[in-house]
Amino acid sequence: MNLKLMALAVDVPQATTHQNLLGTVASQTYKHLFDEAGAFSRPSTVRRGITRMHTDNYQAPAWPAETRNSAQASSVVGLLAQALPQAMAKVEAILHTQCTLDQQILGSTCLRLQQEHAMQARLTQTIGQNGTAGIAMAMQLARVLGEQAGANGLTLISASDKWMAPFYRRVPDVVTYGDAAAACLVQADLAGTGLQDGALAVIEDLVWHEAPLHEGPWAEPAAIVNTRLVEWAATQVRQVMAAMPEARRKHAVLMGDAYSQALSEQVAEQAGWSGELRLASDAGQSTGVHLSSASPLVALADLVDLATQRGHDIDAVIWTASLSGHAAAMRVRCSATARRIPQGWVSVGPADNAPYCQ
Amino acid sequence: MSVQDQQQATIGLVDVAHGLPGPAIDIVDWVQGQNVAPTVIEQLLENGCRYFHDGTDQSDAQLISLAIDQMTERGLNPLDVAYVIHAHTEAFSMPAPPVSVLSQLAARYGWRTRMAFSVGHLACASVGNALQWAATLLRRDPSARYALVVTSDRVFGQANHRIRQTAGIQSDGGSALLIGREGLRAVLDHITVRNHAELFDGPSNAVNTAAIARSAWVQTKNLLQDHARERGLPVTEMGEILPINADRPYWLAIGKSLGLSAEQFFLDNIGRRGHACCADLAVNLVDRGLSLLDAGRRVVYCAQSNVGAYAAVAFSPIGPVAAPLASPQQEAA
Repeated sequence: MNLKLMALAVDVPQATTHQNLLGTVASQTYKHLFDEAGAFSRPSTVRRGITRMHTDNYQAPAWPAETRNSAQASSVVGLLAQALPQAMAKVEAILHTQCTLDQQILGSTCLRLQQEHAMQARLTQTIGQNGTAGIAMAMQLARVLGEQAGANGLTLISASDKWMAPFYRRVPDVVTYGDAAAACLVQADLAGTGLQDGALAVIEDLVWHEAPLHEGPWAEPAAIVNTRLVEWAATQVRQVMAAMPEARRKHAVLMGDAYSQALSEQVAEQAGWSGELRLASDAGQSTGVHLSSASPLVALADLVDLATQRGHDIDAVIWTASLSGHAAAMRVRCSATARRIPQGWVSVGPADNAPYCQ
Repeated sequence: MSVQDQQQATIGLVDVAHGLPGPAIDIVDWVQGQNVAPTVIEQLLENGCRYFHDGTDQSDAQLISLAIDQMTERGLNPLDVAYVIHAHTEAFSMPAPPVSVLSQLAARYGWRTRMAFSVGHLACASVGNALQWAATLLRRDPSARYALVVTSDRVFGQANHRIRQTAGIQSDGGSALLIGREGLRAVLDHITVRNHAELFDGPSNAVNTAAIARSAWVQTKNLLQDHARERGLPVTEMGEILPINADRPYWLAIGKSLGLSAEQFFLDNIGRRGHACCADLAVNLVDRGLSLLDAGRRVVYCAQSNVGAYAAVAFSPIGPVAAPLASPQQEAA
């Protein structure tokens, strides 16, 4: 069953200069990770008490030290609520994803979203432990909820990550993580109408895989980690391609997580991709900065933008491959007639009179 | 079983195990040398607390494995596990991002799941939400044999984090609940979840802490009433309540307000095991629930939290439900 996207918003903060391989440092944050029990929850290569590992200057989007991850999740959902208040009032489920933690460790991001935007939601959860690929899992779960709820059930899916010490923001030659948030409203496409009734995009296929893995990318040589990432991503892309009609395949656009340009090209090559390859730099994003859990939704927003610029709907495959071992690929059809909102898109038509709101 | 039979088959508990590390530790011995006021220990003892489990030297994957290994020793083939759903209360109870406890378990057991994810940010109600997914995913996928719900929670910080006010001691622990359609020990019956999202920021400041203290007991009482109503049963007949293993005075007060006897709450593990967050469900099923279910009695797990999330999970016997036991008052009459 397909999933229709009705609204989408992204929040990528300004890139700032960093000299620390570890994430943003905030006094007293995560101090429990330096207790004995914390040894199993901080990177194995970060000794007790260490919050800075000096490196040459690099750029990555980052929120200020005092800005909370849950606040940014709520802020990006707020963009959807502002654009489609009536739709937000009909959200039945909230699935939030994050790879990192909130600096106020006792709080609940998913419940914050419910309280601030969708009090009526009957199911509210934070979906975790898929590394930066949580959006793909949330989409799968939304599909299950859609089967149960019927065509009117709207699910709010969100993602937000803020990288703080003692977690790594950058693993040299593998990844640089940017802070970012994104959110979307999805609905089951039970009637199979696709883009016809005004959705801004339709997820037509989604494959997901979990690879066994014990340790983080900091524990192995970069070349091995990158080879593995390429294999995970290419396998997922190949699987989605195999189920795609040939005629649509050659005009489709491939886009994935922004590890490095070379890695994106290797994924396309290993998957045997014959269509167009779109890089983060083509989308005006910082080169080589992975936008964490929000990454697939940021890619989707860019592809909708591309469709509107070109003036025709486009087929795309979005891949995500997390250093946790979770990888996924989604086949998406993006609408050329989506309506722009601040930092995002909504389905075409009057904001709150679109068919999905009835 | 045909596909249709599989879809309509009862979903239930196939196996359950907990992983409480090491021997139980006596708080009275442990507190020597810790910066804890003697009056706090006195109050803990008065409130039925005594022993706990310390797994400071173990990872979340190790704690969960303590439970799963028991299942594989009893014959579970990991390749029969189609879905793995992890739940946790303690936010820190996970490997450093982006590492995933799920990939670590996949490496250990070699299973190839169709979906694997973690449910969090709902404190001890997370495990109830995870069980709901287990049932949903199995119902829509007749070819899947098992969904495995696993939990892990560890205490971080000094003694003030090990001790939960004056009525609870936190334990470290993992657990596993195998959910399927065949070889059932119990029916996974009705699940009620409730969120009071206004408490989303937890006890992060004095105002929130006061609001939680004021509202938690009444919200728990409402949860149990809603749960009984949804099942079409009087509160007195929904079975023995297996609460989380802390807060004895609180459970007794709720019982009193609902007209339930103290015997309808299983409170022994507050003293014997300590509160291992999401693992308490498995701990209490192993120590008490399974024997009640085997005897034809219903049980209900009840979790409250400090973020406004609540869950009640009912397990029913496979065979006929036995007549309710007479309460002590009725017997005396």
